[in-house]
Amino acid sequence: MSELESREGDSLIDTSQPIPPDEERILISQLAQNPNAFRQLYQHYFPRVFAYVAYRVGTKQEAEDLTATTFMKVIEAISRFEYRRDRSFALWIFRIAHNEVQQFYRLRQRRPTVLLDDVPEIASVDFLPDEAFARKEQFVRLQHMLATLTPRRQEIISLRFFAGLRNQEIAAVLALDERTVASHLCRALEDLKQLFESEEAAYEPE
Amino acid sequence: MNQNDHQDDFYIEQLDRLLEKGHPHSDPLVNTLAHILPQADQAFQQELEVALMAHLQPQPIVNWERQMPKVNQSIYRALRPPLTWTVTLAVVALAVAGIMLANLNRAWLPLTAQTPPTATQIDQPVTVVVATQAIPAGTVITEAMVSVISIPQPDGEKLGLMQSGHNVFSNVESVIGQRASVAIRWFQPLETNLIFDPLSDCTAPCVDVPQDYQSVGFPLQTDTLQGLTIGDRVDVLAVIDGEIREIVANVVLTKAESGIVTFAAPAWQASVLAWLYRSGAPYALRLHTGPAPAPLDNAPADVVIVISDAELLDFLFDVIVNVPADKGFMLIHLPGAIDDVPFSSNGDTLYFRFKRPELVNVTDGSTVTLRLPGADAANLDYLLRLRGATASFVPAEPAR
Repeated sequence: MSELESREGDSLIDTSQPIPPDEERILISQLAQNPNAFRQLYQHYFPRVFAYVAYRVGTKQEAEDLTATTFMKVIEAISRFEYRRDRSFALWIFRIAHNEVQQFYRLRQRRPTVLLDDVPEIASVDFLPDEAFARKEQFVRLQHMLATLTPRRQEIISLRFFAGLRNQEIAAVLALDERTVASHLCRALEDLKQLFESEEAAYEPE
Repeated sequence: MNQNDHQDDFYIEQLDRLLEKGHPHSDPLVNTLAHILPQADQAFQQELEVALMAHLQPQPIVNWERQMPKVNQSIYRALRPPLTWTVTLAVVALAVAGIMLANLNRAWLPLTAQTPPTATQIDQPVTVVVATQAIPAGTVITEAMVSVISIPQPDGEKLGLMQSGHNVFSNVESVIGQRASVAIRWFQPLETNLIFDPLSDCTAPCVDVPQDYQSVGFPLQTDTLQGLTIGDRVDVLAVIDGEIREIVANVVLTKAESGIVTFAAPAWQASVLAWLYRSGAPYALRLHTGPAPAPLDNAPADVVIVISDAELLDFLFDVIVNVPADKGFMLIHLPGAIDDVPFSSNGDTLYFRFKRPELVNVTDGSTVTLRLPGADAANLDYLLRLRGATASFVPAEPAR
């Protein structure tokens, strides 16, 4: 696991903790009168949307493009959004982001080669400059490994790990059954693990 | 529910504990996936926030239909309104243009020089001129490069525009025809210390910026220049880690007026100076008195680098050395001139691209010997010894 192994003591970047449902409902109810309500929602969801999109497209420039487009579409459609249940705002945002990624690949057809220079910075709580390079390498490697999965499994991994959605929510975004999502998630992780181990074995000294 | 489902449930439960409570997963790959999270530049997040918030507010003057260059367009592309909105914007713009015409005779005043807002004005938006594209240092600013936008006051405060010392332009006429004294980023509000008027340039003593040098404007009381004169080559000293350090040496003092001094420096030095400016570290100048560096023997020389996967280097490649910007002051000890090595910076990191070194040999799968012209080899070796410096190998750019 050498290179890809995360260091002991690393703290997880908090991308999954939701705004408490009551608070989110209040913020959404205030959107028409109080722009600051949108600001709070934006600040909460921006890192998750960017991380999700960055894994799906790979380069910083394209991740910025799609993140900006996603939030612009959120703004344009926000008057039509209806709060139906807890976390429905998260589902709505990621459905928009998911559609933008789909649209991106419809136009692009194939995945571009990603150079380290084009990769976004990687979040860390104890960031040291000489680790940045290694973290970017890890990102590129993980991204290449994800690209070997089927599009659906790529999407499920990205929505679970980087967007911070739960299986039930992923099921709602992708119009799937929750059990199917869980199954895809486990199989995708197994595939990734096998791929990683075979890559490691290929580079082991004889 | 079969055996597989049970295993899946256990796996998913572990995953939930990792992602929601931070408990490590038994599979290290899963832990890594959860930790390697790309993040946007803070500046981008903040600029997008401001742009979105401005979009939520009524827009007094926004000319989104201007031609934009390809670079830095993420937010512009997202904010460009559909055609149906253009008519609405045009009506608003016409109304505001009328107000602007009425105010045309008023001299421009920096925002901070105006009367402080009263309680009833507190929610009034701040009108600022922003760059609608990246403007390289030294460029004469044209109408197509700037626009006026209205920013909610809390955003203005967040961007520091309301603080004393930030003299932000509020109408485009004040900046058109002037010259950028530093590189201006897309959506950056234009402040007085970012531009100068080329017509009045030489009313203050000034010298030409040497070819391939960039200008960097810094706030400094001109009466503290202590005997320095325009055209002098100076060293910039800064207090870093509690010590006075020479941060860049041998830059040209090109202009000094109204509390702003302007240096001309090669790109990498300009970037270090820009970092110094942002860091807020106190600094001072002194006359550069060091001997001129002796020319290096440029005969090819070898450099040894240790990397993983070195055996894969079977292509033409460039070596990119990343140096943390806060170690930039160490670059003054570079053994040779580095101006010919392509340089870029993202603010936090300085990137030097050594083009197409000759691969001499690879031993033990990780020890790579490269051959470059003598000065480049000496510089590459020096850079790689700096704390925090890293190297990466990328496919070579086409030869020019």
